[in-house]
This record gives sequence, structure tokens and C-alpha cells, in this order.
Amino acid sequence: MKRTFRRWLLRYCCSLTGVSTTSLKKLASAVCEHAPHAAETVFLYALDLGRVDDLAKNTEFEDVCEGWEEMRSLSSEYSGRAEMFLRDRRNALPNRYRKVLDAYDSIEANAANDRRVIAMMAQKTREALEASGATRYRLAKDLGINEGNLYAWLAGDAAKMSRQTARRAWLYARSLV
Amino acid sequence: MHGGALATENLIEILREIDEEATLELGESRRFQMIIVGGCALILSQLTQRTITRDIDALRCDASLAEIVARHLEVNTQVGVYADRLPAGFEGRLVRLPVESQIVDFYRPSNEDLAVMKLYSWRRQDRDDLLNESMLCSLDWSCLEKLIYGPGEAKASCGTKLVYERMVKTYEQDFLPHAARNARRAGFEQWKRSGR
Repeated sequence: MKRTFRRWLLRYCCSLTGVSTTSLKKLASAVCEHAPHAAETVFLYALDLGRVDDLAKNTEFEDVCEGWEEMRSLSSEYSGRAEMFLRDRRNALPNRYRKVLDAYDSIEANAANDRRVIAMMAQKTREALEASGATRYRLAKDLGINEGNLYAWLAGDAAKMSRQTARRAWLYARSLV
Repeated sequence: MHGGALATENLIEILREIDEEATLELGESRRFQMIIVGGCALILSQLTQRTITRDIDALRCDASLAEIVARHLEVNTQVGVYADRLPAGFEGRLVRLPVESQIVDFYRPSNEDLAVMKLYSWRRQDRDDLLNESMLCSLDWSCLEKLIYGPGEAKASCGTKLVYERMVKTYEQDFLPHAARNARRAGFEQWKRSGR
């Protein structure tokens, strides 16, 4: 299933409010009742649905309403396009809203970071194997890792190894030195 | 992959990843320090009923760690605003967070320092955090009052007199009456000992 901002936003709203629903009304109630920290995310979800006006109808608490009201005027041209709103207006937005975009962007940033770390672990593993005199074959056997994947990883193919397995291999090779 | 609300296991994983990347990039010859505040500090110390937070607020970390930390978008380093909300001597009271690590030591301010920070903010979330049983039960009340009223602590670090006075008022008029009620209801021994 393709990742979309809206789908991710809904999942984020649900996890922050602890309510499993697609209903904007229930999410807004959750913000007012027990999850004020989800106010920004729920607002952005409403914006992406083009239903910001519905939020006010479902909100009893003034402090939440005031925050939403302020954002409503800022985002009026972006109905149905919450991601674009966040990216275009990023620098003008309160930190709490920027954090939502950061959370979304962190998925790809983490994947890129993982690839970099996995490659670095391969280099450290190679150095440790050389220093200890242990073979790649022994490393694969002792850890129960697929030999082909291990060889490919050590030869520079970071995609052949998860960060977790790369970590195991690196730490084990290091312990042999 | 995170990209969502962060529960205890996610928080620990991110901090351990930072430690791991620091070990890979900076070697093992020296240790580094990172000070965590906010929801993450409370959740990892089991001082709140909250089970999730949106991010990790890093108050301070060694300069060498900054680049590594910046790659983790879940870590919010724009928390300089908290600096004047922490009593001046908070660094002498840091508490180590229960995160196994190789070269990075993760710390948080003491319970009383965190309480002062929350008294400054006093949003709904802060009230909930501060008035919850585990937090109330863990507070050293004489220390808290020293941090609030003592000359070299909150009074010294807060940049604006008005803001400081508002925090004191919050403590006396909003926090104490609620705390007393909650504590009596829960029958906290420590509360009784403190003579309140």
C-alpha cells in the first residue's frame, strides 16, 4: 500500500489520541477530553480532508478552539492540501506544527540514515575481521546469517542487511578482536 | 522507521541508535552527555501516565554529537526556551536515564527541576503530568521549595521577573491545593511526613 500523507496523518492522529477511528468528530472530542497534544495533528487531518469548519462544531474547549481558529485563517488557501501547507509555510508556523511534518519526513530520513549506518558497520566489521584473523564464513556460521547476504553486505551492498543484523555482525566481529 | 507517536520502546530505540552512531563515527575513546527533557524524560522515568510522546526534547548535547542528533528528526533540539525555566543549579542534580548505551550517557533533570519547568508552562498536559500520583509521590518537597523560593535557583535563572512571579503564583494557588487533594486521597506517606 502506497504511503500517503493523509493516511499517515490519520494513523498519527489515532496513535496520539488513542482512539481508533476515521471520524473527525471523535478525534476532535479526544483532543478536547484527554489528548490536547494531538490538537495540531487533528487540525492538519481536518485541513487535508477540507473539513476545518467542522472542527469548531465539535469542540467545546476554548483553548483548543483558539489555537485552531488561528491556524484556520493561516491555512485558508490550503484546503485539501495539508502537506503543501506545511511545506510552503514551514518557517511561519509554530514549532508544534513543524513537528508534525518532521515526524512524517523522519520515515525517509531514518531509512537513508539506516543505509549509511549499515554501510559504516560493514566497514567496521571488515576491519575487525582483519584484525582478529576470523573469516567471513565463521561470522556467518556463528551468527546464523545467510552467507551470500553477509558477503554482499561486506562487499558494499547495504541493502542486503537490516540494521539489526548488521549490528549483530559488527558487535560479534568486534568481540573477536 | 518511526514517523509516528513514540512509545517507550521507540524512545529507547532512538536513543540507542544515536549512541550506536556516535560509537561508529566518534570512536570509543571518550564519553558524551545528552540531557533530555519533556515527555520523553517523564515516560522513560515512569513519572507519567502518558505512554506516548511526539518527539524527544534534547536540552543539550555535546557539540560532537550535534550532527548525529540532527539526522534524527524525532529529536527536537530547538528547546533553548526551556533553559531559563530550569533552576540554575539543575546540572548538579541530573538523573541518569535507564538507557543502555556504549558512549553516550543520557540524563534528565531531577523530578523537582522538571516540576519547576512544568509550573512555568502549566498547560493541561503539564498539569496532568505534575498532578499524577507517581510524580507527586516522588517529589522531595523541601527541595522543590528550595528551587522555587531559593535565591540561586529558579529566581536566578528566570530571565523575567514577571514570569518567575507567575510561576510562584501557579505553585501556590493552582498546584498546591490540587496536589494536597490528590496526595491525601492517595494517602502518600511522604506527604504526611512533610507536614502538609
